[in-house]
Amino acid sequence: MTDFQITSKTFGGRQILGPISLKLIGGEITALLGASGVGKSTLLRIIAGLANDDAGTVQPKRRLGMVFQEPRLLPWKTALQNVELAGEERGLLAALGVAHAKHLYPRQLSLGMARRVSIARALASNPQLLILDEPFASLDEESAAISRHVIMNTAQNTDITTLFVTHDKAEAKTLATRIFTLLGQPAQLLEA
Amino acid sequence: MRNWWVTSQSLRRALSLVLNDGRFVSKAAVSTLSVACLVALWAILALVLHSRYLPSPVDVARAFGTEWMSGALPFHLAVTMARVAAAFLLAMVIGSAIGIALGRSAEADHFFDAWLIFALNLPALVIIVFCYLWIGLNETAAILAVALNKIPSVAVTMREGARALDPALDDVAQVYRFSGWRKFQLFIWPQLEPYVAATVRNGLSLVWKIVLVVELLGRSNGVGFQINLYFGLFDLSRILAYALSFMAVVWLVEALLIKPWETRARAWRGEA
Repeated sequence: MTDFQITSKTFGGRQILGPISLKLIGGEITALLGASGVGKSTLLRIIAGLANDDAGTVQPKRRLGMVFQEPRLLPWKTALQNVELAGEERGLLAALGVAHAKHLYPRQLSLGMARRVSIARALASNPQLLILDEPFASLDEESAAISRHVIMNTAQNTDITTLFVTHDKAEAKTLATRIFTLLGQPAQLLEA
Repeated sequence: MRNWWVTSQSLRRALSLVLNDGRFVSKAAVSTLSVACLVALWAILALVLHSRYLPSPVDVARAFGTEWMSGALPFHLAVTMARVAAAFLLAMVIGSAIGIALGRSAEADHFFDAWLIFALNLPALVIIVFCYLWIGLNETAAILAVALNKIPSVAVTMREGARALDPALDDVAQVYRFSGWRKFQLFIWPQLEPYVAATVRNGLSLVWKIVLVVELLGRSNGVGFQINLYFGLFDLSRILAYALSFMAVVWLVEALLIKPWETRARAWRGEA
């Protein structure tokens, strides 16, 4: 179990996040719901160690895999090289249905393909904590279903702690063991 | 009248095939043809004017042959090349470090911006004269003078490169725990490479011109010194022989080293 304690987060004099305590359990998928602009991505960045809370608390260090809202692939590396940057590819591109694009550069990929490559990169890093920021946005039904299946399989077969952000309640119920909602201003975390 | 029109149309079609259609003539062949036209124009002008102030291509070739056989041209060319290389390397290293530092720190950029503008607008001749006066008429002063002239423009270009670094990729580097040299190699250098290529390309042409002035003012060898010597003797053939030889060397460096590197660096953008 990993315990994240966040005091608060303020941007430009406006407090975005209130005090938040979040316990994530190994092998479990946790969903985080919330309206646009409520601070979900900010919370993920603090948990990932990419930003500090107002008190500058150092969050527990884990081996991370992260899927950002945008794919954030390195444009000068092919799809395969982008995945291998994080770790061994282990057939992840094939599992996510983008094996045919492994020698293509990101500019040659559609947004959906690039997103699946970024999911493969996150899984290739053998993460202890997998953070997914709206991972299935811009994916068609079939690709989203394949990606969900790969993520669920990986989470069930390993001890990966997964935290993912979504707007879609149905998707959260399908994937997650626990669901939290980020609400209010400053935002508080409520377990559904 | 009709015959003239048919002939002109045929000529236009033939020219269009020669210049535009890649199936018949490659780009290299068009460039060669262009250079040949320039030399032909020069030869015609030299023939028509018949003046000692415009030697013909044959006169220049003859002067080149004499200077080459005597060993003077290869020696002075090598000396100038060495100065260009040293000054260029020094300017690239120092200018890049300054540019990247300014691009990464808004405070430093704000403070040093006026210094940079001052340095950019300082005449090359003033820097050369000051270097010779402060350090003496020696190799260190010569190379430093050229490097100091180039550093501000390298810094400005590299500052733009550093400003354009994508912070989103910084996050990726942090998530996958890349830092130090590996981060520079994998995340930063590929973003800076187009700016470095632009600096190298512009830098080389600027540096060698300044090196000639530095040699003319305070050295006893090099292409600049030789040009000054033959200026005194009114020998324009030899002046052109030295200048064209050096231009050819710079062109070769560009074609054999810089261009292939730039092409490789831009391959992922689909611009190759």
